[in-house]
Amino acid sequence: MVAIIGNISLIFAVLLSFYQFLNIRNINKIRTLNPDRNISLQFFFILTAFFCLMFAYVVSDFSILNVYQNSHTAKPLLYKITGVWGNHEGSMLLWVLVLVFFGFLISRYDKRLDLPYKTLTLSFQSLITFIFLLFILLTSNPFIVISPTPVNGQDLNPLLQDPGLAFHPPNLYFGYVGLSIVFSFTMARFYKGSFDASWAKLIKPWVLLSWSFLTLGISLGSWWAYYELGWGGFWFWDPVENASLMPWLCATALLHSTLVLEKRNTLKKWTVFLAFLSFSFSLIGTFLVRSGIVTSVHAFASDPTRGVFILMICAFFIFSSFILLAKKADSIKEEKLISPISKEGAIIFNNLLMIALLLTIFIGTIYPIFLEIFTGDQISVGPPYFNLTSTLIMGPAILIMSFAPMLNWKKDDLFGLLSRLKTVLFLSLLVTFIFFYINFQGPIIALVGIFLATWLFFGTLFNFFERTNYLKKFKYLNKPYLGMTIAHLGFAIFIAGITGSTLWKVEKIKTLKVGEKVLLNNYSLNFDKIKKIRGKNYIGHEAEFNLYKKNKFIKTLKPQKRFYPVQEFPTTEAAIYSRGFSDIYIAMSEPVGNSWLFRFHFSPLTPWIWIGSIMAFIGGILSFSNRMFKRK
Amino acid sequence: MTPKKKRFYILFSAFSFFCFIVGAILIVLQDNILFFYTPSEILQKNLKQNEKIRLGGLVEENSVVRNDIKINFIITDLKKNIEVSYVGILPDLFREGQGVIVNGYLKNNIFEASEVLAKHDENYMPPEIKKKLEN
Repeated sequence: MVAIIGNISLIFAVLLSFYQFLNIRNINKIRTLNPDRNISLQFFFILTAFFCLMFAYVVSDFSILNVYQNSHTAKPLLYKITGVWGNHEGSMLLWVLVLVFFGFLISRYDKRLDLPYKTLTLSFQSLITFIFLLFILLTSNPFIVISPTPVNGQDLNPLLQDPGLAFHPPNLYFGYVGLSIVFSFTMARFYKGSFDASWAKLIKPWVLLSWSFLTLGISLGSWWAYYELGWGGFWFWDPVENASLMPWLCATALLHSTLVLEKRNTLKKWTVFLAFLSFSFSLIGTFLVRSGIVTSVHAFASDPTRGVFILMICAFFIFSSFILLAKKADSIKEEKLISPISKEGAIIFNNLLMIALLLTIFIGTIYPIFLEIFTGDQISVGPPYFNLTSTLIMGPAILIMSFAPMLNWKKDDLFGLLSRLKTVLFLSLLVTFIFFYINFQGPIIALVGIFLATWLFFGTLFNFFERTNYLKKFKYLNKPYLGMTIAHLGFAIFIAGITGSTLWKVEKIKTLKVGEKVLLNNYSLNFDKIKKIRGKNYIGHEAEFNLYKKNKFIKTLKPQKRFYPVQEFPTTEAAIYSRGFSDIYIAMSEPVGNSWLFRFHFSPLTPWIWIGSIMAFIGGILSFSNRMFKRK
Repeated sequence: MTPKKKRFYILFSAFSFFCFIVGAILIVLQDNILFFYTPSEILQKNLKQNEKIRLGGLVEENSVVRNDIKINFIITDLKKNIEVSYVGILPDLFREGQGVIVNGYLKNNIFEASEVLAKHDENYMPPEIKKKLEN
């Protein structure tokens, strides 16, 4: 029954989206139909299909193949609900849900659009919806029924049964599917209106919203990897991680170039190019993850027809949009020349660096795929490549990022500015020196990282104090400026976090018997006891460590080793004690004789990675909230 | 400057910037790639001293020997075997009879692994291994 309602809803949505797309033919007519009702209905039907699937998961309806393959009656309720997007078919449905939700937001709440432009934009959005719905119905239907109904399901991959991962996909999709609406806005502009400052104003809030959620989604995923995979790392340069980072870099560049277009009415072609590129990388990311071309926890689909289908979707959107841009490029008139020492000059520099980094990550990610196709050699590109190139490119970007917001539009005096930055330079050197003094082990590059982070932090703060006249004018400050300040400060904190976490981490791997202890920096961890545990759908062991600092008891830490019998799958639940400045991390491995094997980390500044990311998210949302709902 | 000339300069500098970046990327890339081999291939190849590589195959049944935090095991492609030694924690899904990938160096016919990867899925067989075992 649920399957029938689900299927019918999907079919209605396909028809509606196709009908809306056909409206593109009518763009030159004087009267255009209002798309609101159609878009709302699309949203309604997809939402119905989505809730049907969720209902099937909650009541464990194993007559539906998708539920049978990814659920189990013993699974906790939270993971029954989030299990809906823990598999290929369900997560595609979520993808489309976000797609139509953005259309719905535009049609209901963006009052700045005139009717013809809005119709056109939503028609392009419906085209994307139509194609992805076809993909779902033809290759990845979540409502396929099996008979006879199995007694119980095969359960969800236990690594995904975790709160961090439960909320990572919705946020991530909200981010990179959100870039689709920017694509639609851009496509529509080729037929109605021109690429001027008003267009930049229209797309800006949507770029901000997508960017913010993309930031949050990526950091939730990396937080999950940190505590669930038991390695103590937060980023592995896995192709699938890169697939989410590439649209982020592109959206970051786009965010800044729309600023130039808005204020200076220039960089038009470049901004259009970036808008197309951002959506292209969302699609390429989807392809990488779902084609089975790379293996990882995300790559659920190894069915080649799906891969080919998505590759065709990618090719269709990428080629048609860039060919359109190439054909019409001459009709887009740029107005002003740009002086290198100015805010727009700095932003162009930022854009070039973002795109250069994007290119290096892209090449590193697809190079093995191409090499295997052409030579048959199987290779992999290791983290050293990505670490080196991203450090080399981000370094100069951060140097400029610190003072770029202080530069004037049009033209500025670099030397005057640099002399104003003396205080900032002094403070950041001082802090770097203090770090050097506290912790003089570790490579020199760590000090460079700390210097860059503090340089950015104090530069942003200095600008903030200047702008607010030392907080006296705080209430006159506009939200976008405040948002930018918070996001840039967050990025500085994030850089410090990465530096500490990767370069100053202390690792110990030891076998311990009950009663033994291990020393880690100033801390002592006493292995107190070990006991058997039993959860709703797993069994396992839990160790208890008492954490002491200079003989003062602080906390009991309880790492676990779980075993999920249905999938015969062990997982590691790390125990983390976070103090704001550092993490103490214990992951439990296996028994060796009558002792147990553990991995201990002392990771300085690691919590700052998440604090910084959340600040960037808040900054983006703050800036978005100002622009939304504002009439022309 | 005529508009035509200006356009030429802009395109030219954009193109050289692009080439410079791609060139730099490829140079760095060359130093950081790991070739993937099966045990039979490793024994045929003349590897350079200290060339870091990836080795993949199945963990042979009953071959895992543990000594505190040191582990020795044998990787097989069902034709040839290679002994691997590793210090550290094995991934959750490392099991005898299952597919595994190790990164490291071959020294005196023993493979010293710096990383052991067995990923994410209970029946996971790295595609490289699957392809090579089928041939």
